[in-house]
Amino acid sequence: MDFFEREAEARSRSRIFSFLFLMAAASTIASVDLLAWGVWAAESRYFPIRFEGLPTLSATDLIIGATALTLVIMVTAVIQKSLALSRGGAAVAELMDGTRLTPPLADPVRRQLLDVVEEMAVAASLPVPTVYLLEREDGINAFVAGFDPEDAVVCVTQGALDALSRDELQAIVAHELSHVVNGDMTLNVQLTVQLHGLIVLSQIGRGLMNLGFGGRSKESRSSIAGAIGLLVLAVGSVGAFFGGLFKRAVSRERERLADAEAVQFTRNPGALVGALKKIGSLPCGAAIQSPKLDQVSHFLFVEPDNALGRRHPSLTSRIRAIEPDFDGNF
Amino acid sequence: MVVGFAFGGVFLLFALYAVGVYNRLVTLRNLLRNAFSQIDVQLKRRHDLIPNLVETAKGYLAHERQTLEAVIAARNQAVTASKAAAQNPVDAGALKGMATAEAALSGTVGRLLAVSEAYPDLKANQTMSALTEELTSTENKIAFARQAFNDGVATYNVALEKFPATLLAGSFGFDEAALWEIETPEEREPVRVAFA
Repeated sequence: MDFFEREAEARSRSRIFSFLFLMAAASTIASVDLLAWGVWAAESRYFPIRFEGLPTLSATDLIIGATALTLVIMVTAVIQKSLALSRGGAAVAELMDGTRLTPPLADPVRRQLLDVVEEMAVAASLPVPTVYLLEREDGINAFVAGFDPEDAVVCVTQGALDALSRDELQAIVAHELSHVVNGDMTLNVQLTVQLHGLIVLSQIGRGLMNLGFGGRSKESRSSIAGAIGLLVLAVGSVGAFFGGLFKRAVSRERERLADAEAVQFTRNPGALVGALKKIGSLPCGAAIQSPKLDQVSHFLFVEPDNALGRRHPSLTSRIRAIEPDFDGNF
Repeated sequence: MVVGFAFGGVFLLFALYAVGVYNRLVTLRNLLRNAFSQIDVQLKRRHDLIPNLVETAKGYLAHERQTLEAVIAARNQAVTASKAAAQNPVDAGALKGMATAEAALSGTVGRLLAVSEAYPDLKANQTMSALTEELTSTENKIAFARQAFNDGVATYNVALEKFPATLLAGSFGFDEAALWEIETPEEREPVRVAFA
């Protein structure tokens, strides 16, 4: 696959996802409108009380109002999340307590890491990314962060440096750089932002429910707010659920592609299999201790057992993709 | 009138297509040049590293004078060849001479690194281990850059030879690019390591 095909593919993929997101957002808004209309209809049917001086609300006004409100909420959420994610790769690495590696380095192992990253940047025809070492992490793992190739940052754990051979280290760095080449970081930011736009409604619903049913004093409780919250949560959750499923499916597919390209860049399938097997067999595994794990879990080379949701294919299936007769015993 | 518009339309479509072909070929050729300069950078790095390596190893490898001399000779030849190629970058012969000299250098360096494995004192030397790592990394980079360059050549040549672009490419002045091939038999052979 050449440069142009990659670029064209990334662009068309991004358009498809944007379209799907718009569809999901539109159906969420329609559900909210339906909900608002249902409440309005029930109210005018069973509580036909009109207050003097208050204008009566027509169904059209109500639907326009509900649509506008939902739109404003979603757009705000999307903008807020994009701002939070636009801090770039270095900010994410520092969030995870990474130490930036710059030459000259006295420690031969660290120097080797820098060399390996440079080699893989040459193989992938990329600018050399900044390298961070996560000194406090004993598990074998790595991730990339950042918006585009110029801003990309590669983070590798101390556990990976200690346990892996030079070739295996090269394989996991190649896997990470494949994410950069394929525009997966941009894709991931796009999906995270869009998903957040869908999730925000269910979060508001949950907030209303807590307010309505869980208030401390009797006066502050309001079963009407709670009931509305429950309905909003139900509507919002459907979008968030399918959005989440979709995002995980996309991530798994990108991981498989990155594994395939790691082999293409290094021309050494044994090294990638070796690294995956070490993660499966050593007690440290791929664990990440940092409490900020969830902010980077979708970028990691192997998803640790303590991460939420499964965005990566299983270790065994990844090894079998390269070595079909692997028996599953590490 | 209608016929005039039809001809005009066809001509416009053709002109747009020609512009597209031209731009794609220009971009591909620039990517290719960039890939080539990547190889060049790494080769220069290797030329600079080798004298240091030989200087450090000399004291320990008194019995391996032949190997050391072969490395120095190959290095000097490669430097000369790369200067010739730099003076005349379009000349395919100069490029081929450069590739051959570099391949010969890779072979001798590989042998030197293999030989030095047998000398524990040398392996323990910190300068030597730093130089070895740097040279290994440079060798890897040369291999990877060559891989990327050859992939780029293949993409460029395919774009050039595809019908109907091939009808236009010649008149735009695009020529087929040559792969960076390994010419010497030494590099094709695996490095032999003898265990005494």
